[in-house]
Amino acid sequence: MNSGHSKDYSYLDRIRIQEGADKCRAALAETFRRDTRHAAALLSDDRLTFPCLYILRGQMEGLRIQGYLNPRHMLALQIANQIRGSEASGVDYLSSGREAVYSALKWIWETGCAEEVAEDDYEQILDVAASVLINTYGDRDILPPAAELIFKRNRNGRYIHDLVWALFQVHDPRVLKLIAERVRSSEPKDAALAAELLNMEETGVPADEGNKEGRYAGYLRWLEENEPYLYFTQESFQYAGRPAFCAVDLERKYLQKGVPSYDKQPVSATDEDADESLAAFKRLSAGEQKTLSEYSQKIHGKSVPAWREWLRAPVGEQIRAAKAGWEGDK
Amino acid sequence: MIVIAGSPFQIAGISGGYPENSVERQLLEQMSQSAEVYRYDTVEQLEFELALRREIVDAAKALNRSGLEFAVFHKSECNQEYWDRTSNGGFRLKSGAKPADAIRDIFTNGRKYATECATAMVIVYYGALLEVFSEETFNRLFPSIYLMNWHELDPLLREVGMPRRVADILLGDRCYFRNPEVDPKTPELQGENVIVLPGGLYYGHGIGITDADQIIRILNANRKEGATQSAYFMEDTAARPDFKRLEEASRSRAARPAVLSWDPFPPPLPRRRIRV
Repeated sequence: MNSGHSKDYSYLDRIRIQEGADKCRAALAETFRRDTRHAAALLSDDRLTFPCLYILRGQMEGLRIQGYLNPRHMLALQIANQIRGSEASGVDYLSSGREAVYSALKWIWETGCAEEVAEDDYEQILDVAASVLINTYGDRDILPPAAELIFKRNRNGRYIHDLVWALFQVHDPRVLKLIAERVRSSEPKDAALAAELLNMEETGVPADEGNKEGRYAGYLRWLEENEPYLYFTQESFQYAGRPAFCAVDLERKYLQKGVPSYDKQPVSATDEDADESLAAFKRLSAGEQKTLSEYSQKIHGKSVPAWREWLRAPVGEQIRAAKAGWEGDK
Repeated sequence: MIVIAGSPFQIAGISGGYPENSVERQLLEQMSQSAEVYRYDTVEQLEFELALRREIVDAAKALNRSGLEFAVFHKSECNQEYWDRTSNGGFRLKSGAKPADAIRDIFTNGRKYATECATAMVIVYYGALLEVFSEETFNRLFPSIYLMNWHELDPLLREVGMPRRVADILLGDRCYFRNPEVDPKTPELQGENVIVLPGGLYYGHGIGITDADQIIRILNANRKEGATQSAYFMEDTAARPDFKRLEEASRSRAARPAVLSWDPFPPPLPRRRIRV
């Protein structure tokens, strides 16, 4: 523990951090034996962290002192027990009283992810807290620490699939940027996981092990170029071994018609010529579609009138022009 | 349409060898009537696929009967006589355990195990392969097994973790029901991996053997508040093992031919000795 911050911790947290979980439990029991009110005050200390509440849960049950918890800590404990499957009341605490639930979940997350207890129950509580905060409450502030936690757990061989799923459910390219930061990590496991989550093989960014910064910059350039056509696929580790969490809508890129929602939405052409081109485009192989969409982006950036003329040509001619164009660049 | 060695194949030549309404018969009829071309080099290749698909169907039914419990990865359980539970909730074959015995134990002592739907699919594949291969071949081909959804799949099985667009959904395919508006509290119900069974039925671990409507009803009952989009069956994608590579591997005497053919240098490591 950083001694400079020790004053910010509750009494029970200080014992937990400095002397361990058993000493912390013993301290609570001893305080309770001597002075119940003081024990209650310790448990309701606003500075108490979720890891401390978590390790004391059995002790509190044994001493029957859960009733002394303040409302936030009480609700957090009930939520934790519900997620662990040990809450027998059948009450769905996560669905009752939105503000109070949000406050309890936020406290669980903020005080809980900084120092994870490497236990399945604990990690599951954090996973669900993150999932509900992100997907029910739309809390985007937790995206950076959630990304951090994914990489931290991955380094330790812990379970990450639900957290990854929660993060990608946001359908926000900010998530991609957060992950991309790890492409340049000096920790090989971070860089490998980042490349996997970003599906970097599909982006065409060279896998140059010796030049992490270049790879990171290359990915950001790819993202900038493709963001208008990017959509999130809803694929996950439950569905596939190497899920493509997001993809480029090649039809939209071909027509240079972006969407702001990052969901897959059908695209229609603006005029009859383009409509024919789009129909022909859909019949092309995946490789040809990629080539044409990239070329479309390129010439659109140079000259919109030239792009319109190119798009009106039969698709066979478009492909020839694209190939000649790329060859010319080489 | 079935094509063998470049020529259209008439199923009458082999279909009589399979019982009426058998999985193999149904497969042969569906494939031969499809607009899709199913290509094989030999009849044996086709027969291997038919046999393995039938065993996948049977293994799915057997796993459903085994008592295997449903649990999220954080709560997964395994019989530690054969498996080590890894820190991310997967099961790794215990050092010294025979792969065939360890897989068979899941089917016979299912109640000692708990996992989620994707891992159950992988167990189904191993269970099916145990029936089509001799025990010696199975142990030789899969000396180390790791069970954790589609993560770290054996190279011989990697395709089962790669759903692709398909023209037909066939018996023994691994398919997926997606629940796009799942309740964030239950991410494990974001979808359901299933094995396609005869009679319009599916095996999904945790749900059991039932039809598509029932699976969709169960997933829909676990959507977030205010959800408007129903769960649905992804009817144009399926994951299939590479039947031809498995058939080839079963004939090969060399250990792990698929792996060795990819990377000839440095020289292959000595084959791990399996005690029998």
